[in-house]
Amino acid sequence: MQPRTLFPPLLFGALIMGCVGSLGGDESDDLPPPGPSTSAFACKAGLTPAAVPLRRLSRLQYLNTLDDLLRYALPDEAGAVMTGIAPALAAIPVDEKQGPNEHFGGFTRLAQAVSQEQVEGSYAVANSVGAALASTPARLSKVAGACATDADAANDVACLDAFITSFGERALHRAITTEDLAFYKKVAGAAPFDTADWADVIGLLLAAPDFLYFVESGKEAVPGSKDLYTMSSYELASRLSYHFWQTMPDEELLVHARSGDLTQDEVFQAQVQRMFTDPRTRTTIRSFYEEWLHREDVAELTSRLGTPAFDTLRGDFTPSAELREDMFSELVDMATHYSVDTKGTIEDLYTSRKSFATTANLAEIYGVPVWDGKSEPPAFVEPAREGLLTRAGMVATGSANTRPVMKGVFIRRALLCEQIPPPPANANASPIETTGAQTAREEVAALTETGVCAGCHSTVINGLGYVTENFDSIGRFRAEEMLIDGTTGVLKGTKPVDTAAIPHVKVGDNRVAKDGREVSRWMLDSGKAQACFARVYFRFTFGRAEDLTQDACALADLDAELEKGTDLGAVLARIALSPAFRQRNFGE
Amino acid sequence: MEISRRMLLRGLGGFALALPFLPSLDSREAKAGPVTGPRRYIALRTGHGGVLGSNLYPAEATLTNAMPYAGYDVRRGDLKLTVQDSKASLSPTLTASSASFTQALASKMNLLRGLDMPFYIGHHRGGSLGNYKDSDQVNIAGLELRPTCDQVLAWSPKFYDDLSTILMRSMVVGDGRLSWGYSNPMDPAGSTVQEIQSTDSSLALFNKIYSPPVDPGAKRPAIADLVLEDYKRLRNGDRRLSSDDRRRVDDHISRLDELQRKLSVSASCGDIQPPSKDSTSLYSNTFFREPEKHKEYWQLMNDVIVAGLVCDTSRIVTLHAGDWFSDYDGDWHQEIAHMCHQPEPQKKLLASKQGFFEFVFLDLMAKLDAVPEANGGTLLDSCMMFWTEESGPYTHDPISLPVLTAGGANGWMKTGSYIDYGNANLVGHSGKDDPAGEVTHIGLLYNQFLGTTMQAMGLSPADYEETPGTGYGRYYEETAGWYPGFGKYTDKVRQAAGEALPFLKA
Repeated sequence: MQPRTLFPPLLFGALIMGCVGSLGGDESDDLPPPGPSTSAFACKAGLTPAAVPLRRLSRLQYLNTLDDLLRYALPDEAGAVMTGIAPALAAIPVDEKQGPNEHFGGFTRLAQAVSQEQVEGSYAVANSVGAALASTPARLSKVAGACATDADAANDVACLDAFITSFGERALHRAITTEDLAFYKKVAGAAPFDTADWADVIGLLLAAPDFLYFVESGKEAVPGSKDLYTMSSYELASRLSYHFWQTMPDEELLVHARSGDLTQDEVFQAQVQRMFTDPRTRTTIRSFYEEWLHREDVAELTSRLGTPAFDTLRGDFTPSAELREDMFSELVDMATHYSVDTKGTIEDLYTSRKSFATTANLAEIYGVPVWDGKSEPPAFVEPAREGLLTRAGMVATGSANTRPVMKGVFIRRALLCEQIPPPPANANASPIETTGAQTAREEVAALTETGVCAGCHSTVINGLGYVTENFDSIGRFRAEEMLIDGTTGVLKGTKPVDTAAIPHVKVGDNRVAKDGREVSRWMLDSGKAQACFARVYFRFTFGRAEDLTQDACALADLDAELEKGTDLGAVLARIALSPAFRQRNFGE
Repeated sequence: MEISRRMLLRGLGGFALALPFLPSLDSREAKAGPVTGPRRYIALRTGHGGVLGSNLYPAEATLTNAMPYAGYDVRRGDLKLTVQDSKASLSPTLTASSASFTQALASKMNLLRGLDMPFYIGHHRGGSLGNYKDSDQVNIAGLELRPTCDQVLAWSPKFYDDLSTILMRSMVVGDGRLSWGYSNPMDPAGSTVQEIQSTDSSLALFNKIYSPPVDPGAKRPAIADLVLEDYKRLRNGDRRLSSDDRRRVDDHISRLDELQRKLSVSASCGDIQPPSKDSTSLYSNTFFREPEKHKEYWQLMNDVIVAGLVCDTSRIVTLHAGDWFSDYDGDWHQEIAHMCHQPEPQKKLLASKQGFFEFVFLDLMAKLDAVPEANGGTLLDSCMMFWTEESGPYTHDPISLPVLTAGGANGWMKTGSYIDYGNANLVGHSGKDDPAGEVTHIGLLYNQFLGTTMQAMGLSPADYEETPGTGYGRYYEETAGWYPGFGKYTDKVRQAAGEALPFLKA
């Protein structure tokens, strides 16, 4: 929990108050302004994926790798060691979501800055793990074998070499060379080695560049492509493992890395299929959806309990402390269900009429039974509840009012991957109506749909938010909107909700949509939903923003599959088969 | 009775700090005059702005002196507290309990009006310290991210001429994205500019500024030198790397160099005990509307900040606070901040800003002023401390940004003034279509203010200016005709940007 600034994000007021510039105007970003569908990525022969400098492990990948390394080195006590080093781990900075469109469609994998805190934190963790694994002779003998602690000093060097070779291969994601051996054991000095020597060696390995970064040197130049190289088998193993599992390669993958056959198509493809069906991939796919579909502007549903307006709105319904997270989980459960558990498609995401509410509180909002997470999800009974846009996690605000503007902004930026021009210098002139005389839509329209503000609010923002005004700020269906005095909480009356709006999914399309269900279908029909899905998944996969020119081939491939209705699981796995995944551009 | 460091720090809310004899307290080492000793830089910044001039500044009649500058008269007057019903006040916003807000403290402040960014920046964070690119809406061709002035200081050998006690070159606290620095501070030309991570945990901050006593017994050498060698092995070895890869490795190497430096720091804060409470322990679902908790939160943070400065393990602070000190339970951004010229929202906004003044700015100021320094002054006297806002009286708009300073930067700066740098004959916002009728005047450049703060810390313009004579930060003028400052900045104003602001330099 952070203070107030958490839920009115920096852009919000700016957007609701107005904007300047024109559609398709002078945008310096590489994102296109709202316009025709971007689904036609221009893949041309000879395009090479954009060059990206040395990437570091995300915080999650770093923690997972440590955990796996400990399980490899000290299976019985890995958990205890992780608990013991928790204070050091806490100092590793948290990665914030980043992307080309601020946090919309952004992912923590794109947070690639290296700070002083990260360097110092990882150094401290490396030392802590080294000290923990060598804390006692008994523990050290489990980690490195009896040779590490027996009385025979003559075997110490061989013992240390063997440890560096095996542990180092996993920690550094590559084969250990004789030069490596000489370097990493230098810290131990001359045999015999004591536990402190061993701790230093382990610490050195865990502070190494190959542990903290994806150091990729490539294998062979790709003929005819300047600066483009294929990946080595170890590098491919890491790319696969860190993409699908967010951690280091497992033993089977290591076998293929060692033998070098992972560079062969059939072996590689078999590994992709094996890895995609592993439960760890499911966890990773969940994290993709969690980050993509998370709305930063939604307050805890309990944050305004006891305040007059919210209490009037909620009536007998009492939100649980977990309700906000349950709402977001439901979105992720749905997406995971169609991506991993069944052969669903992107159309299912946007049109599903199943409830994935696994808690009573959320199921009560939907008026359906709680889903057990295993059997067929129950169907919605409310006709208006259909697809992603109408779910509680997409419409709730945590306050007494809906926020059509924020809903529109999220759809435009996160689900359509489009930019919104900047707002004007000031628009303090229009008083907001908080006395309960107007619906939220009427308030927003009065504030934003005249003068300079209308330029973007009327065209790219508000309509997308109005179409789900048949759900209140707790996510409940409503035909009538309660008009509540914001100060006293007095219910002044009700008005019928109006969901008819022009969403301008495509510029020039002035059709009026009846509600969110229709907009969902228009988003699919336009190809923009598919194109945006391709773009955000590309970001998640490669840990960088897409270059619409150079990365067009990988994007076009994903987009085409989504447009064809290929099942989402196949699409998500397919990215690993793209040349972009198996090659690296070493150019500028 | 003079309050000693020992007494003061025992009394801090979060923890007890009993200090041993510190060299800086040794009067034998005190040099003549109040200008000796290290200077400290403390920048506080709050979100939005939007406070009307009548709520932020003293009466116009306070401005009793005028001086021609940059082609027009700039004006100043003395800061004088009025006290009524146990409330001491310079203005409705700058009001606090008279028990804590004294004339002595007021005389160590300056209140500055009429400082402008001459372009539309909209919502931003780092812009308050000179990184104008860190904006959601700024649209200046070719504008790039640049380090904020605190980070230039943090890596300046002029500012830190002795790093032997410094564990944190800068303490960055509160909401993020105020402070920005080079990915490799030792190689700005080869660097990217990135956000400096902030902390909202007073305990985490304490752990960074506190150096526990070192066991003088046998201590195994750290492995940092070999870690560094490992990175150089990669950097200079024969593995294929792109030039950008090498730059990233260089960034890491630079950070390891800094780590090695810190491993050799010798600082002593005596038997200091960790704080008993962490600021983040106050968080809850309803924290955003509990001003009493906000007060406690910032006092916990202020205690640790003061401890870091007293221990001399850091000399720079940046503090970023969004919207605090209100129990409003609606949508602050939409209904208050951007409606702030309506009567009720302005009232709520005023209360929020007054809370920040009293419980963050003044609290910190008073704590600093209670710590005597060897040169005869107080810790506050060594500081260039200031509070500014994201916007001026019109949100989104950086015309007439307010600045409240405290401390005299060890005698570099005069204090006790209310200064209006605005040109009374040149209107920015006419107030015609504004419900509050708020009028602003075009003033001097905010770049000039930031440059002044750098000079107060001992830097020369050549140490921080991108282009000679432009102060701190990129100079740019808005080209959009709708902007209230469009076409109103004169050559004389531009040419003054590299100078110290008038009335300030001692």
